[in-house]
Amino acid sequence: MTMFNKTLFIHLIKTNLKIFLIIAGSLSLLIGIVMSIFTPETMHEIAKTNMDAPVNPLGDITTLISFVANQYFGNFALIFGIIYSIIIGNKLIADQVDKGSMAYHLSTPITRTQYTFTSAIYFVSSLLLMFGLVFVVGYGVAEFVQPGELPVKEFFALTLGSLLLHLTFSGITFLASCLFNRSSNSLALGAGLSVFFYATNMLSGMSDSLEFLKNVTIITFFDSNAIIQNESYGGQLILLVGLTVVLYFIGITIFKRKDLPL
Amino acid sequence: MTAIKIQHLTKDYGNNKGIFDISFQIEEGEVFGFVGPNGAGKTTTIRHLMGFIKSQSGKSTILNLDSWNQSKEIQKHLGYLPAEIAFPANMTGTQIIQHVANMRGVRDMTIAQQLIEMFDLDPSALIKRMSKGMKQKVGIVCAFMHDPQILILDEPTTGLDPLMQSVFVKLIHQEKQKGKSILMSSHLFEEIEGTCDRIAMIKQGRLISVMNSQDFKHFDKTTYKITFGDLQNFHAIQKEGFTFRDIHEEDLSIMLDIEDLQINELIDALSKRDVTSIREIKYSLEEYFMNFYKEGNHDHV
Repeated sequence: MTMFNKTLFIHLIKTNLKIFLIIAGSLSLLIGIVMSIFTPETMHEIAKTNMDAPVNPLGDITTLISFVANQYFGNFALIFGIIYSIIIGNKLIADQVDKGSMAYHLSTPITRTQYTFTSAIYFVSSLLLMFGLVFVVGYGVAEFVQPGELPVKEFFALTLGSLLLHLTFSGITFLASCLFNRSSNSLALGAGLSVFFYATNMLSGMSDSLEFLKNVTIITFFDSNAIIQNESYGGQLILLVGLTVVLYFIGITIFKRKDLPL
Repeated sequence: MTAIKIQHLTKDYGNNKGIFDISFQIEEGEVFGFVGPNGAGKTTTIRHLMGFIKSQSGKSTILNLDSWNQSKEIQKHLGYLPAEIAFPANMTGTQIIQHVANMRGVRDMTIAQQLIEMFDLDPSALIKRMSKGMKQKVGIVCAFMHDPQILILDEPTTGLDPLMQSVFVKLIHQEKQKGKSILMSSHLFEEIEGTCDRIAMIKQGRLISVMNSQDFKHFDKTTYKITFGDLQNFHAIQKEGFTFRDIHEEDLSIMLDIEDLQINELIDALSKRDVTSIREIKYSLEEYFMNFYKEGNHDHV
């Protein structure tokens, strides 16, 4: 018995295409803009005007790669990715149980595990494709507009790290979705936890007294500074992978055993 | 082979909700009616059969396959129509039907096409733009299109207009002739009366009785509401030997229960009086059932 169901997979691609295109499109567009606008001259000018500013709210943006690390992956991609995971995570399982359309799926010859496993594969591969697009578009535009200015290895590591972080977010929303029979509860846990991690990450960067908050957010595992400064970051990313696998596994196991109000 | 077998199925939700020690079985080729008031446990029983919930004790099997552990295998031979039908939003009826066909590995869409024509359905519209009746028709196509051996239909005619309800009854007759086993829950007497071989009544989670529909049909009692033109006639009729169920002086109407054997007496009595209207009051299925049950059929318990 294979756990993957191709027909269902195609169905999931079709039904989630719109939201995928919106998020992936926005992320690709943004990385394209960043790569085409922030040429060495622009960076120099920004640095000059910001010389007197006491704290730079944007973080270190003196080089293209640090801007990409702090602003793009640390902000835009983070928000868009979290929104994607919240919507899709809830939609894949809990929303279908809540609305009753899960009965429509489960009254065909398919096991619950086939359903959840295929959904998980869809979720993971859609994020993979999304960040693959970001890398290709970012690299392509940078090479076209300002050849040689983008350190490709670091950009790749950043994209990969960001992908792994978002896979963990998807694991959280997926687990919440498998756990609850109501959209509202699934969102409360999945979105609630995601927003909490995002907020604590932001606050931790604002002042020294709030820096301890770094210890409560998973976003810390995606250490963009370590990546661009070539420090060690592999261990943390492996931790994210492990966490993701565990979250998906628990979700699938719970859904297999629970009563469904269909 | 036994099509559906339920043995001592129990699911206690607390507060006397749930189902308690339900047992019955449906043989191959049998049409089984499942009736009872809202919240009696019909859908809970069906959820067990579908493998959506796990029983606390007892078990249910379909074609000797366990409905909790082997639901995938069961689904190959099963057609299911839920009580509250819900499809994924943003899909057209055609897409929904095609997706179910793909999931089931059905390549031959002849039956689906026949059903679409039979129910006069245009499935090209988006599901969320469809009326309850149209969605129900899409559900019927999805449940029947793979020619399943067993059908579980939870209040199958809700939302259908009377014409389509009779088309549906025709469909059940066809399936019955093909030797299908059918479990059908319903509120509608006509639907159950003409089609079912046996009928089970469930109330407050407990099976009250199971009876053959032949016994059921022998219940020949009707309730009429008769309104009179003046007070004199209204009072006079009450002196006749009928069983009055209700008397309303305000609008000069009476309600009476009458056996078919007594009908001539009633016509005779009414012919002498000034009657403004006479109307048959339809029993609800439950009422029919309860009345029948009260009439000395205690041996069924």
